[in-house]
Amino acid sequence: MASQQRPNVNDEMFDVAYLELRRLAKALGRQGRDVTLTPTALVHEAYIKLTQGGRFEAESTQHLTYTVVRAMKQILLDAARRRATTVHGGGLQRVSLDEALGRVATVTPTALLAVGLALDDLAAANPMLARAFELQYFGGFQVVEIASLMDISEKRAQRLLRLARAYLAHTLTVAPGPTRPDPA
Amino acid sequence: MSTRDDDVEALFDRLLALPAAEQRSTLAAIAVDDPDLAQLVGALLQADADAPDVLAQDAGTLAHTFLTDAGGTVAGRMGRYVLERYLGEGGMSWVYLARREDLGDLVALKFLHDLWSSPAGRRRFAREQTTLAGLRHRSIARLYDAGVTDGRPWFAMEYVEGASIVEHCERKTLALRDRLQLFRDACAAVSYAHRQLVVHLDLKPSNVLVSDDGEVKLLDFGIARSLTNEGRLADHTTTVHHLLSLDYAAPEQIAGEAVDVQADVHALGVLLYRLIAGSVPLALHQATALELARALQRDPPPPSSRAGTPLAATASSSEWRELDAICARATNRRKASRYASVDRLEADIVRFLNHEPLEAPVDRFHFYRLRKFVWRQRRGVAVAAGVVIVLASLVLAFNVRLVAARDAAMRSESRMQRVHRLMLNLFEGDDSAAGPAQELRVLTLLDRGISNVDSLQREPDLQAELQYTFGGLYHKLGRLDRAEPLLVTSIDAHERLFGRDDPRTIRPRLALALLRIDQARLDEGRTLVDHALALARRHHPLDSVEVAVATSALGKLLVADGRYAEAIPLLESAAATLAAAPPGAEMSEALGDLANGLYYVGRIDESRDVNQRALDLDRRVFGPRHPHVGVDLFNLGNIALDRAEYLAAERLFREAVAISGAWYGPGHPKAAANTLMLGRALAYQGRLGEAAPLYERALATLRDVYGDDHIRVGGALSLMGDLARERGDLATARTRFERAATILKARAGADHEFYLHQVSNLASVDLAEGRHAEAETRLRMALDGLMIAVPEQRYTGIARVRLAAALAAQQRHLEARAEATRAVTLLSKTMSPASIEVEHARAVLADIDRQLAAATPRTSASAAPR
Repeated sequence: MASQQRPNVNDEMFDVAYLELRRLAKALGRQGRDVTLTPTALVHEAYIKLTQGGRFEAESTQHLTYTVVRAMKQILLDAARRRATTVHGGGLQRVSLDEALGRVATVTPTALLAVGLALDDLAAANPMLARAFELQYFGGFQVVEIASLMDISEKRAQRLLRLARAYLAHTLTVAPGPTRPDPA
Repeated sequence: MSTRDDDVEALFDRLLALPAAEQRSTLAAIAVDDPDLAQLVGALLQADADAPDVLAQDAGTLAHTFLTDAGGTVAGRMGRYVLERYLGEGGMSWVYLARREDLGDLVALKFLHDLWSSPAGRRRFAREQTTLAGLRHRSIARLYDAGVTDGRPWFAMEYVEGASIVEHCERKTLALRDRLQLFRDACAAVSYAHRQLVVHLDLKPSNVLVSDDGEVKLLDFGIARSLTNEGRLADHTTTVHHLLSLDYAAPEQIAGEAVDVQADVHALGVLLYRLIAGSVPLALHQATALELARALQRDPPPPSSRAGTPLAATASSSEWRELDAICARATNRRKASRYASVDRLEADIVRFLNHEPLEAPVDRFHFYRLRKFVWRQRRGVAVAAGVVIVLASLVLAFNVRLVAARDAAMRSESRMQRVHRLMLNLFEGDDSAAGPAQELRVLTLLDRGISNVDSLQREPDLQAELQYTFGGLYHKLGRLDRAEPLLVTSIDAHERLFGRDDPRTIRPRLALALLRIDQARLDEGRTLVDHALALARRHHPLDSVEVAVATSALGKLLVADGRYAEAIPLLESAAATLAAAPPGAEMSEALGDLANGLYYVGRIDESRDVNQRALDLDRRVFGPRHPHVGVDLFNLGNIALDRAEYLAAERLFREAVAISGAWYGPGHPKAAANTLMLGRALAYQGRLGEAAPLYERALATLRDVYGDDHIRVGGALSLMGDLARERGDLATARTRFERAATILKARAGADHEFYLHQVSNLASVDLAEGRHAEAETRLRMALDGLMIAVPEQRYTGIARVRLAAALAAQQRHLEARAEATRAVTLLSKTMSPASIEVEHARAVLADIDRQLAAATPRTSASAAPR
């Protein structure tokens, strides 16, 4: 799986980001219902962590940010993977993928894992699209921020995001096997 | 590839702007030249229209769903209820807003987390349900319905549309008095629950809501528990530590000790503080060990010093002083100093609102007094704070080490030993189970540290060393149960690493031996000590500290075993060796044991000298206010009592009382023991009026700490009976002795001298009331037992003197004389000739002799009048 390969990127940086995000997420999670988690805040905090201490200061902002976002993606997918196992083992009422993709408002672990796989395909075919989508989906960045990070116009960023979503939707709904769309 | 992507991107973008019909015609036109492109973009447009919701997720929801334990995995219904949206998490359950299908009512539906679906978790969940069902109060969210769906238990309760009490007050910028009214309602609800024998144990803003129509509603009895009728928790073994909100939890909760209504008083106090000061007194929820230690060490600033300007202006400075006092009393670190109940807290709020005087002591010169106190106690304060902070940094150092795991200096043995000794010495004196206030913080730190030790598998030598260190610390803190497994494991590990007869196994062996002595498992202790001593002798010179320490441990064991004669020479030799080394805790320990051994074999003068040496040493090593010094003073005071030096005893006990009071706080059992003895020194001087209040105070403390039926309570009652008898209040004396007898019979046993002495005491009341025959019966019974239990001790002598008096009063002078003579001999052996007991025995004997002399001429007729 491409998402597990961490191509090209400084592994150490990724690890630091991953650990820092986990720590932040846990700390926020502990505070219970009073606090709403915003991944942007998490990513921002982790970013600060990465830039402090001078270890990675030679790296570009884009590179650092994207590393943090990928770490965030990894964390969410890991959590979903864990959750998916628990669901099957734990006697919970199963939720079919169709239901998960279509009707239920909340995201199921299976659905998120499917998005992860679809993203891997997209990244192989068109890395720029995948990157734009990941910044938005996992990093919580706004279009204007994505444009600045990717050094493109806002209009182009908007376009890429829409196209990426269509690609992913196509993969999720057309691909054979478990991701078959609702026959209705 | 890249051009292709650009084509797709451009076409997709262009077509998106067009209506569906034009999209189709455009695609059809393109398909003529490039069918692949047309087909792909067509599919993408289709997918764009049908994109599943999962792709439209807001990143925040995503994070919330997967990074907190909240659901998303549960489909839409539970029984008759349709889940509408996720509300939050409560300890071990998820809470959803749900609608009842048939009636349309909204409820908060709570169901058990996966994590908690163990039998214990289910029991706790069921208990919350039962608890809620039993509570009917307008300020407590009601239980509506319960059930199990797909094996998952749930219940539905009142859904409160509103905000937490803190949000409510802040959003509406309520005035101080309005905040207090709401707080009072919360107190009333908690107090109602307490009357139903339910404690909440997790009160915090998110559990105290104010509904949109202004009603306070208490939520989440998730870790609530039932009280037995004595006011203690039915089971305090199932505390759910990690569910606590640290900011609001009472120190005893954090320490995992027994909790009761006082925990709720504390939490409400913190809530009050939060409501009026704008922040919690101590923010602990994310504290590191060091921060936690520091924070718990300090008293928080008074709320008046933190309140924001608009709110601060709504009360006068004297009113703020009163609110400071209420918060200080409710959040006191010591349970005994808090409001005795939530009712009392509520009553003070009402008094405040009515401008009446408070129960809480209002300190109008707060800062002045505080400064004075700190100045007076500066050494004590500095020492206590130092203990915690040094320990905290050591625990932290181990944490850091765990991550880095390569600090070579720490690995060197001598350094480890220094660290070890330093830590142990810091804890000297904190050896009572009911220990000083800082003990619980230390325990918390230890508990955090120990998990690091557990994970040090890659460095087994360090791990074994730390297990030994932490085992010793737990032992010092009176947690024998936690010390034992650590020390046992540590010895195993040392043996595995270095071999069974390696000198590095000596210290862990001795540590476990000392534990065994305290556990009264002397045979096991003996095996360990013998092995350690043999190793010490083999690997170290005979006059080394190592040999001396092992020898001293053997001496301690023999003292504990009552083999004083064997112990004394060992302890003497250990003390002689240690005297050459730098003075320290080991020397102090050896001297203390030696003094005890000498005392028990009746070498009182020598015992006094050794105690005096120990006192001088301890003052030098630990400082004049250390509890070790207090113990030495206590021992010397007892010897002074035996030697009938009552004034000296009074002076020694007074100093001991001052030390124990300052170190442990006046409500501590150690302080009570000293107070009791001070009372005795006064009573012996005939200063009964001064002794009485001291006894009362000590008794109150002992009852508070140990409960009404503890052996020490029996001992105190016995002394109070003596006092009442001396004052001629025979009815009170009898009641005290009877109560003491009941307690001591149950706790020590019918054949124990403690109980038998109470029988003898009751006889002394009989005697004073002139019921001589009854006195005789009781005394003979007591003596039968005492002759078996302690034939040579003072209790036996005292009973004999009394028997002599009872016989003399019945004109049986010859029998009486024999008893009195035996008593004088026995008492003179164990006590000073000047002691009240010996003097009294002599007086009785002299009296009998006088009566005998008077009766002699009429021997034949002596029995006639009866």
